[in-house]
Amino acid sequence: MSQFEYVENCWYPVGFSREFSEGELQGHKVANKPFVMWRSKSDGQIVGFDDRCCHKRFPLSESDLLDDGTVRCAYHGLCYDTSGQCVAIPAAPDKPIPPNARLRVAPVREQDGVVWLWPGDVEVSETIDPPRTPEIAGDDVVSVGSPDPLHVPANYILLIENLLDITHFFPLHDGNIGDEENSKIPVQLEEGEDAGYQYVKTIRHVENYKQPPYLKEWFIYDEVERIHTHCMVSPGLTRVEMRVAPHGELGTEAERGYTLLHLHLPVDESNLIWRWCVSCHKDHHPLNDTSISTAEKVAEMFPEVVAQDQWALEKQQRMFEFADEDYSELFLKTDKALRRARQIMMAMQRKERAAAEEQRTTRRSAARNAASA
Amino acid sequence: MAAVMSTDQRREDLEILAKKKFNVRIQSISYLAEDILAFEFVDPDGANLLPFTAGAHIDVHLPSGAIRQYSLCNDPTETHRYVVAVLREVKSRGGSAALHDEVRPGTELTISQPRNHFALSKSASRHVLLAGGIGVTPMMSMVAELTRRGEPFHLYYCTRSPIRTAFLPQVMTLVEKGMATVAHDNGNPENGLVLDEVLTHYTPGNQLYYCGPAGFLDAVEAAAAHWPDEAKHCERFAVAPTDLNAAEPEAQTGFDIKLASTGETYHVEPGRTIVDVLFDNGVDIDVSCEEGYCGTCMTRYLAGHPEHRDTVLDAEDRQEFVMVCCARSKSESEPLVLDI
Repeated sequence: MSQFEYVENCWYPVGFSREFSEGELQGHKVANKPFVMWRSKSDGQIVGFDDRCCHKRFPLSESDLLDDGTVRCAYHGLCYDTSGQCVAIPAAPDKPIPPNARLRVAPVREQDGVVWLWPGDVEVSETIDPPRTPEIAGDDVVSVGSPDPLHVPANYILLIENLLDITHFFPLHDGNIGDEENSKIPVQLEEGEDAGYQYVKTIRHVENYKQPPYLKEWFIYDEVERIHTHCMVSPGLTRVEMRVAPHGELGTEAERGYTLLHLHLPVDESNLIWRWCVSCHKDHHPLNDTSISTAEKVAEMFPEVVAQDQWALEKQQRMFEFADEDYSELFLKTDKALRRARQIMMAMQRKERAAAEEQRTTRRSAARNAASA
Repeated sequence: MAAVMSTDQRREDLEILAKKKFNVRIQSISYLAEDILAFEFVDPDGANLLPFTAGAHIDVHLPSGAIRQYSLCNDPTETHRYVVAVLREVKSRGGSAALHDEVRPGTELTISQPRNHFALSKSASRHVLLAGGIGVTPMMSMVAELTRRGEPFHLYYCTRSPIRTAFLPQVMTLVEKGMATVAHDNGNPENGLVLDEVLTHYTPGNQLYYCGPAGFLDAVEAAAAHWPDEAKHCERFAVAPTDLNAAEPEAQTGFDIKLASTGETYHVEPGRTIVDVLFDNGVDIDVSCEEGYCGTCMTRYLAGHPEHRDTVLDAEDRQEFVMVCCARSKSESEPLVLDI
């Protein structure tokens, strides 16, 4: 565990679409790399580049987006268009612009209401698409997203493990979603590959489940059959689904529930950014307040729950500052999905590091051959 | 911290951490007593070694592929070397004889990072150290540590005769200060230390540490039966690292593993682990505790009959997963097919 930092070759969610308005430069740090992003005025597309001006590495995210759509570095005034090409160098107006005067492009995709950025190898980004999130922008749902991105000083693998694990609801979330009964429901593990991503999913299927008061308020029934799943879709996305209905009525009109998307990215090895979005059917309302949608009701409780997780993750991360020596975490049966998720991410990190090493070796031998030729 | 390291350096460090094994060179071999030699291990490049605490042991990978555990006997504040004292056993199963007969100064060996299952209590009012023969090795690093802490202790050291007593000059210095007792039984335990007398009175705050041959440990356990469990610390010698591996390494048989992804089959020799063999063949598996309780190496298997040695998987999980750091195979002929 101590050697896991982050996966670089991955689409990471840097924001909801609504967070990118025209005319605004944004600075993001993903996988310990600086990026500048903005929504182009001409075609509304979002672009992303290395945040360092190619001249003196001044941050372009702290510079100016001009009316003509170019970005002007606030230090020496080099201007870049939306392809990253330098189009003006004020200090040498009559000289040709050197071929290397351009910004390194970061692949960006906007899809289903989410903006994704790929911090790793650009070529690899062309082999896979960001995961779909139809729940965020669907016609038949109401979706409520986290008001602000949440920063947690912890490695994002700790958050992913937290999200796959509901045995911590009690005692960590005692007083809100802290239902000890949840921890006792048997867990099934499902694994597979979907759209190029290896996923891990836990399934908790329970019959005659007596809903605690907060769940009854959300999903109206006293006693239900329930399927509760937690799925690491990719290192950038975890999907939680809860489906409840009176016995035998799952999949019918009577079904209630939510989809909860967790969008997470590694800022660096000990910091993460977390966004969430809860979606419920647009016609569903809580038991005692039909003036709001169920999604809004669920979202009310979230900030408190999330704050407790933030607190725990930060404390947990700090303990990684101590050498392991002969310390190893104890495995419990309920940790199976967490372990598999961690193994998948470790393997991804190992694979991309081996590829990077191979590239370095190839470059070195090419340089040697060129020198001796 | 990682920020100042080059990527290559970091990769190397990660590999070391992942394997928890590294190479050391034997700097010196010295005579301690009849059939007992001290081996001093240093980093081949003169770098500092990983720190250790009093009572720690290391795994030593012998040229034959066998692995043996030895307690470190030097002062834990020393960062430039590890020292182990090894008794050449009459019925050596290949470990002590190989070290005594085959290894020379300058030889390079692979060892594990130090681990400690025999650590000193941090809240004792007095420490009682009971050593039988070569079981004195961890006690020597404990004595160094307790002397520095200034905490009261007494070392009881039982051996056959002075010429078979390692560290005798150092221990005699303690005897003169009233901090140690040495007893020689000349081959008859009845003439040795009367354990019942030493251990009659348990005083709260006292902590007991004992290490030595099996018969000695059994005698101590009988005499200290009235001591609370939390006041007793035992290090058993000449058995595999944990109770999970209680089978003698030599009683283990070899077996085959097969990788589902490549169809490659590899042989796991007695005394080696599945993880060792995977590493040798360029297959990286993350491991941490290497004793079957942390689950880091949990691997799905598709066929075969694993002999599970972990302490955490239940019967249902064992139908699907195996902890490859410690598991073996029940079948010598049929490979264990791993989903990697």
